[in-house]
Amino acid sequence: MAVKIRLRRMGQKHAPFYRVIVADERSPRDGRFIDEIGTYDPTKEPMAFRVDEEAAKKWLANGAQPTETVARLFKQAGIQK
Amino acid sequence: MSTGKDGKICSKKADAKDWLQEAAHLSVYFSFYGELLGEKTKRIFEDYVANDMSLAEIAREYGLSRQGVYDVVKRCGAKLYEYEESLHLAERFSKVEEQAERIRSEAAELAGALGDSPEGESATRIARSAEELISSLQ
Repeated sequence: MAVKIRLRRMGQKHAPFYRVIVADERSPRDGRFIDEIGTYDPTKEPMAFRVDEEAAKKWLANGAQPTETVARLFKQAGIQK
Repeated sequence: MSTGKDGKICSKKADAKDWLQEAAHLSVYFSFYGELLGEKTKRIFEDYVANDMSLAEIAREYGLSRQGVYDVVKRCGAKLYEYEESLHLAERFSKVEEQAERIRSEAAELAGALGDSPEGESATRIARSAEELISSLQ
């Protein structure tokens, strides 16, 4: 089972707010997820990205694939495998 | 998840910060103008910006080619920018929200300082009205 780390949009209509979740790649939008490891608020200046670094590293080391956006957020936050 | 102003999807090498900012803009524009996109293109773009799905994942899901999805996303991105450039709804929204928030916090502060006086109560009412304005904007 391939696992992905992706963003899931929450928040109000005009104020996007995302959770960083770990989920089976086959369930991108059914709401199920394995773990929630952070949040991302792009509307803040500077943008607010909070993530449990340990958990992120653990998932990456276990082969979870971040989406392009998450990979960029990780890169900015200095998180690597 | 990002297309440039000209509708070009930012290259993978693009600076992470620019890329994320671009994506954030599109996500907000989509919340304002998404309904103007066609039903299917709207769903595809939503999967792209709100569900953070990759082009390949979306392609698989809709039985399209990756290139086909890329074209849809690119076209939608350009359209959203075009709408915002003509109507500025997102820009106005964020200004109004910011100002209302300022009114709310100053009135709340004033209400705290004035206490139980009639002036204090009136400041509380102003703060409440500002709060209602903020939630009605959403």
